[in-house]
Amino acid sequence: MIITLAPSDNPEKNFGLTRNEFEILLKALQEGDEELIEVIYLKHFGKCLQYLIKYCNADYESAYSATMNALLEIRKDLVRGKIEYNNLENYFTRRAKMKLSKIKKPPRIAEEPNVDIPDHLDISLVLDRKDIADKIGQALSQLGGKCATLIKLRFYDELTWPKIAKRLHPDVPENEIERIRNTLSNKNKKQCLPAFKRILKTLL
Amino acid sequence: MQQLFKYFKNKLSDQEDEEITRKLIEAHQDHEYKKKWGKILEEKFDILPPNKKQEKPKKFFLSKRTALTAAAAIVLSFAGITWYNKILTPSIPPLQTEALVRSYLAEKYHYPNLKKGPREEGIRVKANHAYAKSNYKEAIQYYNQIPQLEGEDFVFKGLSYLYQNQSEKAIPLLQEATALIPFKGFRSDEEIRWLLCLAYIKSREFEKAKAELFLLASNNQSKRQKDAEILIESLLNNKDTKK
Repeated sequence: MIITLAPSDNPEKNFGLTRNEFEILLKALQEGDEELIEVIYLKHFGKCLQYLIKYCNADYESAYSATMNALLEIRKDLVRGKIEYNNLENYFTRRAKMKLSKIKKPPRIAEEPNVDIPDHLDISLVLDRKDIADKIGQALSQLGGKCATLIKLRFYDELTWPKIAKRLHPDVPENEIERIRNTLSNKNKKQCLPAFKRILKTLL
Repeated sequence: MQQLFKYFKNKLSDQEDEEITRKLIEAHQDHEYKKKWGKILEEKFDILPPNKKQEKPKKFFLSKRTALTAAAAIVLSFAGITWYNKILTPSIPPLQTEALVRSYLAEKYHYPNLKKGPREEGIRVKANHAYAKSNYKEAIQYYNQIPQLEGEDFVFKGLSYLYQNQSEKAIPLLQEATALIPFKGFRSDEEIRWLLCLAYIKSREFEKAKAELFLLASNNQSKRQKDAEILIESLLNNKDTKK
């Protein structure tokens, strides 16, 4: 599903980018170049932050955290091709505002469809810890290049197998993609995931 | 059995397995991006992270009458909460878990290095000696005088509070110690985590305790694996601590 924004082709409302410039940067992001986020979006981080403080009466910490979380989500949607060129600045601020409202009023579990793990242990308590995030990072670096990339593309960017196949083998013709897709999916299931679990278990 | 236990023991369906992996990778990757972007924001755009930013306190004025009403409301709320905790809520931590924690704490075998070395200073030696002699109050006073606490100091100052039943003061110190892992002087990081678990249980922070205990229990090489499993079992079998 493509998220459509209020119609506006005005570069002033799109971080000063024309449609063409945005699409070049977007394609680069989808191929692993983070310029769109690190140069364009971060340049407007402060503006969004100030908006939340001034107009939503947020304290600095909540505003910073909401803007950061909004940017994480926007990056994921951009990578998955779910955001189009249209009033991007306003969209950034609106996403941050939504994130801020969640910080102010934590949602009931019933309203969050994907976080309900039927278990006594709330997994987020473990995952919120900085040292655990570092250990997962160590496990990925020990896992090595191709598997780590595969796991990141599959489980973080949530790309489909054909998209991952195209990303990793951009020069391969279309009729070969299906075969590569199957190879990658099998490699992930039989080799990468078990190895990742094995390494992470020893680190924890 | 916990979800992550099952994950490591390959007892989940493919779909559940992928879901847990997704959450793990997301936790790491989000953390990495936040770190990277935070650095760029600070260096290029002069936007500081909240822990470095000092906010000016907001000024607000209350009328005398409003202030008195607010104060009265606070006093009454505290009284109400205390009454509720004492009279209406069961005395948790549950007996069995509490007894277990007591027995684990009774086997006091964490001792600081008492030998004088080039890194040792007078106050630290006094603090460690007071701790070793179980003079915890005195130990805390000495630890408070050390200008810059190091890894092991956080552990033994935390333990001094823990042995005095002041677990709420022990927790931040033990957390600080876990953040400094690895550091010289302490036997193993899992022991610090273990002590933190005991402090959490004593403070009735059962979910945090379970999260830490699970990590200890899922590590086959951990010397505390068995103990952690026993405590998890005890927490899960009790209606007050079971979520």
